[in-house]
Amino acid sequence: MLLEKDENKIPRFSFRPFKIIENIQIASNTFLLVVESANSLDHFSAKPFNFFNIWVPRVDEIPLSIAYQNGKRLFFLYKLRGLGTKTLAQQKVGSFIGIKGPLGRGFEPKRSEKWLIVAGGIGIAPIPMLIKRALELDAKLDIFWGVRVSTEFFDIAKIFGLPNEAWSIVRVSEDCMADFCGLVIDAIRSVNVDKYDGIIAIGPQEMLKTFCKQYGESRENTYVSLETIVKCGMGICGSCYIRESEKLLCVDGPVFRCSEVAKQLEGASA
Amino acid sequence: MALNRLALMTSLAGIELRHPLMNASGFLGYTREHVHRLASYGLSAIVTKTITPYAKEGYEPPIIVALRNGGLLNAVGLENPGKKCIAELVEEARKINVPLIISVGGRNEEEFVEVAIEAEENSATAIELNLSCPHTKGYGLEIGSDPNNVFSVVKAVASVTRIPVIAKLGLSDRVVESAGKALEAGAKGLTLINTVKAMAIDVHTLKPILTNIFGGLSGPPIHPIAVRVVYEVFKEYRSEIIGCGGVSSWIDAAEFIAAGAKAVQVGTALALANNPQDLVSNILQGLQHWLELHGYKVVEEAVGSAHRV
Ligand SMILES: Cc1cc2nc3c(=O)[nH]c(=O)nc-3n(C[C@H](O)[C@H](O)[C@H](O)COP(=O)(O)O)c2cc1C
Ligand code: FES
Repeated sequence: MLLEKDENKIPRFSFRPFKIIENIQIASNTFLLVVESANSLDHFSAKPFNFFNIWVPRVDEIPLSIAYQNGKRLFFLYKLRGLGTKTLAQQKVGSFIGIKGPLGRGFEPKRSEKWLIVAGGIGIAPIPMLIKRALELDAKLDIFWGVRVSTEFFDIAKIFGLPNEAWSIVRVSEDCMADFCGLVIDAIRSVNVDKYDGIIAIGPQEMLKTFCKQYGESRENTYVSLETIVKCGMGICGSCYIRESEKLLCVDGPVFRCSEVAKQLEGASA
Repeated sequence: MALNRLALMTSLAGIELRHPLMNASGFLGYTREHVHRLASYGLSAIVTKTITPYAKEGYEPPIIVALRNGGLLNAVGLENPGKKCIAELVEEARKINVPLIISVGGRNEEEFVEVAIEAEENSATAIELNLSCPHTKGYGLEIGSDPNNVFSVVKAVASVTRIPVIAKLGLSDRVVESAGKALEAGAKGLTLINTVKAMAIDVHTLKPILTNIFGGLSGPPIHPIAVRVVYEVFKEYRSEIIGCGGVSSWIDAAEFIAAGAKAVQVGTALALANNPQDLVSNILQGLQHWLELHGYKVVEEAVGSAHRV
C-alpha cells in the first residue's frame, strides 16, 4: 500500500550532516554505506522505498533508496555508476556528508498480507527495509532476486541481521551459478501469483516493462518502483516527471501502479 | 465557504484573471506534464520555466536546497528544452483553458526576440521577460541590473510582438529606475522580484552547498524586500505589478496588493506545501475575507491601498 506523504518539508529538504560509519565494497561494483546523524536531536522515520539524496560535496547529489534504518543510523546499498558514486565510494570513515530526505512516498504491505517481490540487480537495495517492516506487520514476502553474474550477490540476512522468518529468497543469475538460471522475469513464470495480495518489481526499466506487460494489465495490485533522473528531490525542478502523467517520481513515487506508468515504460529501450 | 468569484477577479497587462494567484517561473513548467500538474493547483494563470532559444543544460546537483530560515536556495542554471517546447505547452494550457505566460530568457536582445516570437506565433497569452535570474552567467540580472539594457531588451521584444510583455526585475540598486525604463520601452506590466543572490556553506564539510556556489534565495526571507520594491515602484509609476517573493499565506499576498500589486505569484510555498491545492484555496479564501473586512468589492479597489493618506 502506498503510504501518506511526509509532512514538514524544511528539515527533509535541507542537507543534514551525517558521519560515515562504514563505506565498504560488499560485491562486484557494489558498496554498503552506513551513516549516522551528527545531530543528536535529529530523528528520522524512513519507510521502505523512501529515498535520500546524498550530497557528495562539490561533485554531485545522488538519490539512493534507504536499505535499512537502525535508530540514527541509515544504511544504503549502491552500485558504482558515474562520477558521483565513484567519489562517494572514496569517502572515508569519519568524514561528513550531507543528506536530504526522506524523500518520496513509502510503500509497505498491509498487516498479514503476502507479497511477491521481484528485484533485478541493485533493485534489491530497498528490500532489507521492507523485510524489517514485514516482520513488524506480520506480513510475508517471497523474494526473487536476479543478477547478471553471481558475484553481484551479497547476503542481506547477514549484513542487516535479518531473522529467517517472514521472508524467503530465490537467487537467479544469468551465469547459472544460483538457484535458477536465466532472467528473474522467467524465474517467476512458474509462480502462482494469485496466491499473493500484491506483487512489486524493482530493477532495470526493461525488466519493469516486461513485468508490467505480463502482470500489470489484469491485476490492480501490481506495482513497480521506478527510476528516473532525480535532481532536486523536492518536486521543483521537474526532471523526474512521469510521461503523460501529472505525477513526479520524487514526490509521488518511486512506487507506482503499472497502469500509471505505462507510457513511461514504453519509452524504455527495447 | 465558497469563494466569491467576482470579488477575486483581477486583470494584468490586459489579461483577465479569475483571481490574483499564479505560480512563479521555475517551479516545473517546461513539459506538457508539468503544465497539467500546475493547472491542477487551481492557479489563475501558469507561468512557464524560463525558456531560451536552444536547449540549455543546468548545473550539476545540488541545485536546490531548503535552508533553516524557511527559504530555498537554488542555482538550477536555467535548464530548459529550448523554444521548441513552447508549442506543446501552449497546446496543453489551451486544453485546460488556463492563460499561459511564457517566461523568456536570453543573453542578448536577439535571443529574447527569438523566443518571444515563438511564443507569439503559438498564441501564448503573454510573455514575461526574465531580466533577473541572479546566478546564471550571461543571463538575467547580468543584463537586468542596468536600466539601459532593460530598456533595449524590452523595446526590442515589445516592438515585434502584439501579446502583452511583462518585465520581471530583480533586486538591484537601480530597480526603480529599471522599472521606469521597462515601462517606457513598452512593458505592460512588471513582475517584482526574482530571487536574491545568496549562498550557503555547510559547516560540517566546510563546503559551499550549491555546486554553482552562488544561488538565488527565495521564500519567506525575501518577502519584506519584495514588498519594499513593489511599494516603491508603484509609488513612482502606478504601474501594473505582479508581486513575487515569499508569499506563503493570504497575509503576504494581501501585503503585496496593499503595496500596489494587482496579481501575485507563488513559488517556494507551492513546493513546500503538503497540498498545493489547499494552499491556493486557503490564500484565496483569506484574501476574500480581507477584501470584505475593508469593504472592497473587487481586488482592484485594494491595489495600492497602503499608499492612501
Ligand atoms: C528552483 C527555482 C527556480 C527558479 N527558476 C526561475 C526561472 O526559470 N525564471 C524566473 O524568472 N524565475 C525563477 N525563479 C524565481 C521565482 O520565479 C521567484 O521569483 C522567486 O522564487 C521568489 O518567489 P517565491 O519566494 O514565491 O519562491 C526560480 C526560483 C526557484 C526557487
Ligand atoms: S527531482 Fe526535481 S522535481 Fe523531482
